[in-house]
Amino acid sequence: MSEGKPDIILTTDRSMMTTHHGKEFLGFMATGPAIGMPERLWMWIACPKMKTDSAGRPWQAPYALRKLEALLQDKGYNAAVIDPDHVNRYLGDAKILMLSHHDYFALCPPSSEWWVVTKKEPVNAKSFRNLMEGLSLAEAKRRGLKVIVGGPAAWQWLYKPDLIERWGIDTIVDGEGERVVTDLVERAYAGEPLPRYIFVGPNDVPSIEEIPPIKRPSINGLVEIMRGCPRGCKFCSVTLRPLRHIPLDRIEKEILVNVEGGVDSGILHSEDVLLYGANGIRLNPDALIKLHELSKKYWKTLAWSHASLAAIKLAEKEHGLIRKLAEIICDEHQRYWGVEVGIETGSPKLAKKIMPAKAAPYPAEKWPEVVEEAFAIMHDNNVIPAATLILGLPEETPDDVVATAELLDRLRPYRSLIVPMFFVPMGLLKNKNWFTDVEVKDEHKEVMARCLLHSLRWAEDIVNKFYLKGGKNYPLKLVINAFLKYVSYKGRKVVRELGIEVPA
Amino acid sequence: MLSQKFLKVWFAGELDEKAVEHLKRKLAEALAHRERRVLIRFYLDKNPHESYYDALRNILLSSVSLSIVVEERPASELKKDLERASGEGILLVLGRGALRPSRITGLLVEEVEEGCLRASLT
Repeated sequence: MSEGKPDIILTTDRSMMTTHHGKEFLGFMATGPAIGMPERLWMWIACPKMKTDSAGRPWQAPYALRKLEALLQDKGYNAAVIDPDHVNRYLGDAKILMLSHHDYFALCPPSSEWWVVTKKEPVNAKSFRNLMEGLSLAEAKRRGLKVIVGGPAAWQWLYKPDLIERWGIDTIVDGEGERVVTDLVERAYAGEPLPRYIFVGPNDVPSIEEIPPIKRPSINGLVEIMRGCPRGCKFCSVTLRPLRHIPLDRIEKEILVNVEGGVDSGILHSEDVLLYGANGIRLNPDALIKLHELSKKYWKTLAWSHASLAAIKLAEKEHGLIRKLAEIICDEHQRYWGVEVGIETGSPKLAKKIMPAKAAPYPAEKWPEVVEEAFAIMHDNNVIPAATLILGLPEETPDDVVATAELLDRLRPYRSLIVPMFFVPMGLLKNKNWFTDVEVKDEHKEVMARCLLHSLRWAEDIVNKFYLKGGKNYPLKLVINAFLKYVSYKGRKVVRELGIEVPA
Repeated sequence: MLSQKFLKVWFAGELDEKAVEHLKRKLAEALAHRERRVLIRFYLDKNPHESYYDALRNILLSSVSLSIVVEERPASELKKDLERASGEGILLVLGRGALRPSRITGLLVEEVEEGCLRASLT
């Protein structure tokens, strides 16, 4: 905040306003309920409190909130990201409260899947509810406070009309907010009524020039390098937005903001990092090498947010690029890097229907081979993927699920975590107990058992040899190893009880 | 973005299944006519409730290519707003139970009716 108390408060709950101990993969735990340990301990592992200054400003904050903070400050507004524990200090004087979240009510995967499997509410939804119930909203609303909510999970509010009413939500913004947020703020300042809902269509997304660089550190140094995706998968909304590549000088500026703020490692964020600077899906090795050289000039360690398996295979087979990038990335500070990848299905038939361009430039029919080759390339180059699968898609047949199970068997030798996710039909979400209505078929259980055993097998190796190596991580490593042993014991017991046969 | 040109659709009356289908059709037509933005304003008799949000979700999910802004106003304000918006080229969709307004220049009115649709320029 520039001077005094902020007029516009940007915040979110603890499951988002946390460093996850600098280990992004631990963020997965924030999407589940506490298992095998008290919730407080679970929260400490997954979402420790953020360091703040005396004004309650967090050291690091979610990237989307930092973007809005920069946008509003550039327009002359007194806006600041405030840690959730400090919001009440400012609510009495604020004009606008802005909230953002990846999963307000735990309706997105993998939270939704944890909910279906355990029948327990994940901690992210609980944490958000606790935030809202702990704020002095009623009084602030009477005084005229406007509450605007957004982020990737904005759509979830349409399933919670009671909470819109209860917490006095004025406006829901769904989509990229740069072009609309200042309009809303101007209206709120002028005392004009705000719209209830705004969906930002592809024609109203901001240009590169309209996206302001962040002014303070983002969580774990995350820096956006692209927006949009050209692959057009049916289950993904990002693909609807045009592709924009952030120029290197802007990326450098944001890396420097983080480094100068004491965050000396970072995450390159894109739906597909390997498409940075690409023409469609034609890779641009030069742009990627420059991007990574620039990043490692400032960062000790880096990770990729997401990459496509087809691009990983293409990069290595055509350009030897994964090996070249490994030479840039891996040094005395880091031996590996992490990335989230989407397998989604092992069935070429289903792949062709729901994600025909995900394997491109390889044919969709070759999808399982593309996946396996990409996994082998990552294994050989110390890239550790957290991979997702989608189960229960509307067009899925039992044969498709069997194909996925077979692919999982082929992926056993490769170091990775594989997380199955449930497709939850939106029609179910309006029921309060929707998670009891999701049908988990026997073949889905088989795939889930394979994923569990695969991930447990590799998790120990990843945690001890890569992820939490070194003395300073010892307490966390101890707790996580105990947790893995507990989950392994329980998981294997459940697999046996269900009579599921998994190859040894 | 909010100061850009929007196709304005105002709705009054009961937001039942037929009304939802009618509004979805309006969005599809807007897209076919290369509109980029649609503003839908609902005139409501009471505070938004669960069935209103069910209907809203249904309408919003039918389009991902347009920018859509949803506004809510008390039904009692319709007459005054119509008078103020004279000449703005607003499409007023009347659902079940809505009263047809008196003549207003340039206002296109459509009625959502049992099995048929009536449109007229008042």
